[in-house]
Amino acid sequence: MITQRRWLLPCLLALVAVLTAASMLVGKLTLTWDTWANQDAVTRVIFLELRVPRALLAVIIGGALGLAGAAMQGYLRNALADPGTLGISSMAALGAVLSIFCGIADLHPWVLPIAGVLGGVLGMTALFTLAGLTGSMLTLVLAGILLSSLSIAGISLLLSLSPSPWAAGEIVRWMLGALVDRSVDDLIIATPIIVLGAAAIYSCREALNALTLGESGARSLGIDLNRVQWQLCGGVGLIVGASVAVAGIIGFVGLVVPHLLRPLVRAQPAALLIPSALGGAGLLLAGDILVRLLPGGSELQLGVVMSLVGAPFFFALLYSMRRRVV
Amino acid sequence: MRGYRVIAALALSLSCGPVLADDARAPTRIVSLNPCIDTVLVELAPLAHIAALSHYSRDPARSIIAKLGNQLPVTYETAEEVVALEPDLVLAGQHSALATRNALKRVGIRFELFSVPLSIEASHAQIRRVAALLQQPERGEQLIARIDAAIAAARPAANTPILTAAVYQPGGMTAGTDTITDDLMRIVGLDNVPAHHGIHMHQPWPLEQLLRASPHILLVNDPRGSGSMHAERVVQHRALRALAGRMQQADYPVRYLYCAGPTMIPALAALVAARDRTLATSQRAP
Repeated sequence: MITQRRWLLPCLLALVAVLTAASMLVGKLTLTWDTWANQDAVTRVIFLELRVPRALLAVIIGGALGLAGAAMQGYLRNALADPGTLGISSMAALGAVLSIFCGIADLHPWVLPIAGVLGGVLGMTALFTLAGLTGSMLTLVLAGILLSSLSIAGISLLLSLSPSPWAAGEIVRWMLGALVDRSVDDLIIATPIIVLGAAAIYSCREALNALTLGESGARSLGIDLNRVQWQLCGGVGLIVGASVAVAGIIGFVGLVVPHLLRPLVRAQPAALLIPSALGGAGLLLAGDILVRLLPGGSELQLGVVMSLVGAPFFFALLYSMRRRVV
Repeated sequence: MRGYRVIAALALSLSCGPVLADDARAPTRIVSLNPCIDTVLVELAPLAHIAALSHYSRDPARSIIAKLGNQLPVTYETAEEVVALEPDLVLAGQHSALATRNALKRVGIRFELFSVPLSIEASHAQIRRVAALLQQPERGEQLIARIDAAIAAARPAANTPILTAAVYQPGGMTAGTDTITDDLMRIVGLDNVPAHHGIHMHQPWPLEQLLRASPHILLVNDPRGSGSMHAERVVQHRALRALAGRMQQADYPVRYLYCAGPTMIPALAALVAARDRTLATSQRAP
């Protein structure tokens, strides 16, 4: 039985709607009704080609990362699981950068995100092989550290070997995600991949609830754990690969949001999925608005702001967990 | 302990070498570690006196002297390479690695530090300083005269309308206040828009502001980039294509952007070409 507070979903939906509207209006120039009514070509282009794709990408990517975080935490029954902390995002970035380095990214706009997805799936496979369901917290965290440091080393190596004079900036851009100046083209590429991945994850919801009874408990309920594992692998890989290919690595969304919302859904992993997606969308929108409102000629990187907000939160979370355990 | 004393003695003997050298003689084994100083050095010193340039000088995307750079030896800015060349003068930029400079200091190699010139006057002063170090003051003045002549030739005719312009390079990079590009644009009769929007030195400029300002001329890197990196994708953004009719794009390769000195001569020519082409089309258009 899925129990949750009835007001939770409408509230989250309203929050996302308000933030989406704000994200389309707020920026280095505030669009008011007057400027819009004038209908000059520049305002129209800024709105349609910059603001709208940016806001929608924040919704889709934030939502996808929130969903992926909730699913990974549910499946691994581990509060530390998240595509960012366990190195799945950086594996996806390595895949994308590898396709740039080999020169195949120029063949077709879909090559780079698909390479990102392959990197993500490979990362998930490695994680499950190393740490899996029965693995301890320690194995999982060590596997995550291994994946992140390996992939970040790989990205830096490939980009500094490439002949582009912008290699250093490009490394930073992959490590610290951003949504600035993305276009409708990015939206068209990311959306179908992320929707496919989200569907794969969402259809695992029964298994996630059953897993709260433990592995053998879930098996006795008729859950094919092998299939669930591969479905999650693929789903998270698709989501993270597409997000990273478009926006770079954005951490902490998948980690923070499920923690914030878990008490509100009485700790049911399946009931957490949708609220987590909405919460992730809201958090990323808010961060992306904050980035634009800070003073200065050019913008801060969104990934920096998410980490600045997320790290103290994570600190408080760990501290309270420690007190509860001791 | 004994091993340490041997090393100390060795270091001492190394450090004594250059001190004994006659300081009044012009240096004949010169190493430059900075790509901008490279371009000044090849103008002022006889090529036989250049022991090595920086490795950037071989990259045609980043240096205007790539052809020459490929004929001369280069270093990758490590103390080992520099010491092996036994230079009598090392010219380094302020942003060179501190560890390398300290290593050179320990070995006792004479090096001179140069800051990034933020104006044409500062660039001229830097050329004079290099010329004095090389004991080639006449060559220095000749180079400065050539730059000044290029500046004089680049000034617009009287009552030429002032056009607005902005540099827009991969990664959304632009040049704001306190840049050589800003100075050069003023000379050519272009109004550097990012300088009015809080951009200081070289920073990325949000596309929204660029579209809102819609400068007459957009100075872009020549489209040799593959377009798969984030940095290169932003200059091909749909929003820019949608407003392509309003802004004239002109070639301004990235190698003109970060150096002063002799680089200013081709940079001015590129700016003049951009200005004249835009003026010609705007006269034809109405």
